[in-house]
Amino acid sequence: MKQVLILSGKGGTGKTTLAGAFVRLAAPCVCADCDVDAADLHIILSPAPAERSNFYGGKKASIDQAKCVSCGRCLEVCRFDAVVPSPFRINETSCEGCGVCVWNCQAGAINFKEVLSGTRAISGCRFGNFAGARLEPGEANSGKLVALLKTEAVKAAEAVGAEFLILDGSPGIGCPVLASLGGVNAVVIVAEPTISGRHDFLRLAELLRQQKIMGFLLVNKWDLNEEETETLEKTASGLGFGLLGRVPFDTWVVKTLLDRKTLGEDGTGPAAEAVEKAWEILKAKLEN
Amino acid sequence: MILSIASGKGGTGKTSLACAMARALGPGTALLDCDVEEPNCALFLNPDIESEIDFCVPVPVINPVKCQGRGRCQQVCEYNAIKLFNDKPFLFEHMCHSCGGCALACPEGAITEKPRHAGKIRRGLSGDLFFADGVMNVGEASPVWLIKAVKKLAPSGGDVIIDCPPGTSCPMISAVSGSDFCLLVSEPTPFGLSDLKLAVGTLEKIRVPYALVINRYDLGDWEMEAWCAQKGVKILLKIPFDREIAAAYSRGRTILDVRPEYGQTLKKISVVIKAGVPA
Repeated sequence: MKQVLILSGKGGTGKTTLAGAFVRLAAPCVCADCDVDAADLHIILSPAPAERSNFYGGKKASIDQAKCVSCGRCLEVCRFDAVVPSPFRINETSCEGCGVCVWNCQAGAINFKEVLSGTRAISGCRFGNFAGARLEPGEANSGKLVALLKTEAVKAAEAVGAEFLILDGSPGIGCPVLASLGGVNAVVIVAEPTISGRHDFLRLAELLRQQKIMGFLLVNKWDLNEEETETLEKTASGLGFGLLGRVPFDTWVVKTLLDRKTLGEDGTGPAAEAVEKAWEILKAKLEN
Repeated sequence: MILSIASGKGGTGKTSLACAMARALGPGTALLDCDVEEPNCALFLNPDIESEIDFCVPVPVINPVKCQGRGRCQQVCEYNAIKLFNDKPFLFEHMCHSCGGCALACPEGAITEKPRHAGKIRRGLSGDLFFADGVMNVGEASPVWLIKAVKKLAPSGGDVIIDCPPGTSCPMISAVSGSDFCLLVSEPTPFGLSDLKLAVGTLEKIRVPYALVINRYDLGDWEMEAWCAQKGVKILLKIPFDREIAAAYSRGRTILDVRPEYGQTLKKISVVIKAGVPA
């Protein structure tokens, strides 16, 4: 089983659209939406409703006002600015769940409980199995949830003997991205030909180099700036990236999205054709 | 006024809008780029960087001579960053959240802390705008400390514009919290709407007032506007898809360079926002 992860560094370059198309082209396969912060892949895959399992990402502190003696020790030891004084209470969204205030409280006034941070489920979709998670608004620990979701998706893929596990990733280079990288065979970076696109591509490429993961580049909306597209491709080649081609700006992409379909599912167009070509190149490279 | 620009979904135009808004507000305005994983404002504002300082987070150092192997550090660490092997503590530095608990808890005082390099903070001027950003080291897991540090650089007096990271969890919350107002930028597609709902959920939880800018409003459907009408979310601006704006963006120009009339529009929006923000 090969794991293909779609990343971008910069947000909104077309990760989910590409992931959806790859899922269709790789069918029957297993896929997972590792962007648990702002999960969208389910919108175009419409997985069957399934019973969701709870995800407890960590603990949070809360102060029992009846026991609090207002000594202020919690405020002193908290490094996350989560303690608000007079009367002392915890700002739940700032609390990192380190528990330092809990065992430093002489009055034993601080409770420390697991909180429900999100839910997850695996269910069938028209291209195979889909693993998806939802983080509650304002909840932390997306990295932990991504790691858990991935473990379950890998198990599901092995159970059905899927050839491919397609993973839609998060923007950025921080904890949810790091959590999605484990065990991945190839990362496809979708980048737009803009100076910020190149800047963010380079940071993500450095992360892949550190983690020794094979990377591929797909340039999206290449015709918005041909010169920048060439620079991006040259830069990527120089870093050992495989090139998967260029996808043109195509308003059909938005239309398929509005129909809740994957790109190329309901008729083809220049963008859909370019993505199909990209998949063929990637598949051939992964077979080698 | 502290105005943060956030979105939920990435690539909807946060950075463009943040830079354009800072320019439109003019002299004395500060722009803080808090998208420290992928900071891009500098590419559009070309600031003269006056200082660049290393940013560090504290991590524990265990003195093996003083350590008695009692494992109190392992016991208090909620992040499994310290594990005992044969009564000797071993630190998994990348799991550490820098809470300082182990150093406080060690009965032998065998744990001290040292700074670990996690990124850099730059500040300078872009014309008459104050500029600061954070650049997280590649390979670091959490941007939260760095975001908080960049926010502390906001000069007192004058308006502050914060360019936020995408998403709706800890990095976005760290960037937005404490703002007087948050301007959300989205696009009217099913992805945009789904992420907008999450972003709104987060802002309501942290009680930051907000309104919406719809970018590329003609490349989608009307569901977002219908949802906003039903939910009572104010839409302050709708920007059409404009190939010239997109092409200018690709070269590091903001919307004001090709469509200067937006300067007045943004200024008016800031007046509307300020009128609703308690002074």
